[in-house]
Amino acid sequence: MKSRDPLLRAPPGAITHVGAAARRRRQVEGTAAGVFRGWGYEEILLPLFDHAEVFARGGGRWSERSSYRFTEGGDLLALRADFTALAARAAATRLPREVKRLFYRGEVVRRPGRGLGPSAFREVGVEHFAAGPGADLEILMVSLEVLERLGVAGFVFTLGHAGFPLGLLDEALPGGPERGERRAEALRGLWRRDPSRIRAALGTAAAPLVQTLELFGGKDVLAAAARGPLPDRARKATAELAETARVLEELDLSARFRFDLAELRGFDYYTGLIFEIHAPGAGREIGGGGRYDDLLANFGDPRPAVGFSLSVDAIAGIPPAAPDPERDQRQPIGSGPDPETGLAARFRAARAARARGASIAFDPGG
Amino acid sequence: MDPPLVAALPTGRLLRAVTDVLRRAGVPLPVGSADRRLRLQGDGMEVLFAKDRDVPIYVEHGVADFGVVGRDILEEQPANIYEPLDLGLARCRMVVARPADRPLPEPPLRIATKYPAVAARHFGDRGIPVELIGLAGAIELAPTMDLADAVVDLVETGATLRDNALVEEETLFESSARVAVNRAAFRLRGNDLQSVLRRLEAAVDAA
Repeated sequence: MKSRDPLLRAPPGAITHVGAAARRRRQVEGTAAGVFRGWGYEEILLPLFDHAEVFARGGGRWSERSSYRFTEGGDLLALRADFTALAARAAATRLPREVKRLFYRGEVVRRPGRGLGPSAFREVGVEHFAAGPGADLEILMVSLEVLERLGVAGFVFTLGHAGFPLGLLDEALPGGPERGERRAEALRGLWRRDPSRIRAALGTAAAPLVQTLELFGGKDVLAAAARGPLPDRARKATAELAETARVLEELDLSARFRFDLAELRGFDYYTGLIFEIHAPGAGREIGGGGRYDDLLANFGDPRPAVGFSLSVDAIAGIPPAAPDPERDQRQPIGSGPDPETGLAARFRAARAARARGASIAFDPGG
Repeated sequence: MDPPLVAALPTGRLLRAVTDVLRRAGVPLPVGSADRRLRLQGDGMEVLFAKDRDVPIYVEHGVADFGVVGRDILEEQPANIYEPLDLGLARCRMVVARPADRPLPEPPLRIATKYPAVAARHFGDRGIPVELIGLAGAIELAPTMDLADAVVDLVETGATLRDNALVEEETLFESSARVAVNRAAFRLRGNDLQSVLRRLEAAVDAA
């Protein structure tokens, strides 16, 4: 039946979770938070809205077009569409320099791109304001541990490096007034793995970048990528990835990692390592991140940074291998074959069970 | 063992050409037709038959591992998917067309189209103010009846335009059918998908 009552109508994207769906999301958040704390990350609670300019300077995938904006007292504000921009601004302008590791959890709200999908997403993630391969590997280890602890089956990390495709792209681009438009079109081509767009953007100079689309797989693609002449930036990228691959191998973790030298995650924002995480049962990435050394400079504090986020909803949406554990393990109090009589006796039994740490199914009586 | 790959194929005029090229490529299509059943399961592959505009949605959500869809649709409703292979099928052009006897007036223009996002981007980028009139089909009728000054539409041979006394003013882009691949499947089913893509590429090159 149709309803005109706004209490009964639900706008698309306004989603309520309860029961196993709610518990699993909180479990994902809680497990991630525990791992982040364990690695020395400090939780930062970020505002639900801020100046739209903050998100614009964040420069990520989710900037101006995807945020809900509104004016207040003459200022243009936006609902939180991205955590990284807020964390970077806080680190650049407010936090002591000693705070180098931050984590966040919560929801971001984005305008529906094409009227599809929910417009609020739960995320957890970290920012680490540090340079070097150790900091890169650290966020890989941290995100890996979260997924291991959550029991996500069959997840795969795909690693790339912004310096490889961007180094080749900037060498292939002709000068002239069309350079910016050609660059954007080539980036769209990389994002879609569409060789025809890259050729349309770069003409005869497109070949090295088009060949990059074939450079994905195990660590042998790094050797293949390093063969032949390369611009310095691309050369450096292959060396950094090879070093990462070597450490992962020594840690016996190679099976979880693949490489893809064309991956940019769709935007010109990362400056070094890039990664995406996929798992069977999730049709979209469950997480990803990388290095964005130019980000803090946008907030007046040029410092290196690396980070990632995990999609709580995508991870919680993977069909569980085992049934929800929290159900059916509750100790009944005040019902069952030998019900306690009297409220005091019931609550005494309830408090005793709770003191032992048991979950209870308390019958408050009529 | 991994389940069979799932392909989303577009019903309509493109389907025959798409299944032909898949067969020539030796992709193991399940036996059956799309006349009634929307889903065919085989040992090597499962096929979904979807309306062409819905193919990128099935692929983006990972319900299908890959699909075949025209560039016109991907331009109208961009999807977060890979487009690694142009099959070169169903070649056509997205054009601005106007009545042969009536040059475009001074803006604002009234534009009738099935592709409002494409049209809005095209005129918007050029700073030309337009009133967009979204129609579901038979777009050529709109300028004939003076509902619109021009249309933005997909043209294959141009015969329909000529029959309705319209001429092409400008080409926006060339369109043809492409393979769309789910981003997660590209990572998780990479070998299976690469095998399909390589065979399709060989079949397209041989044609």
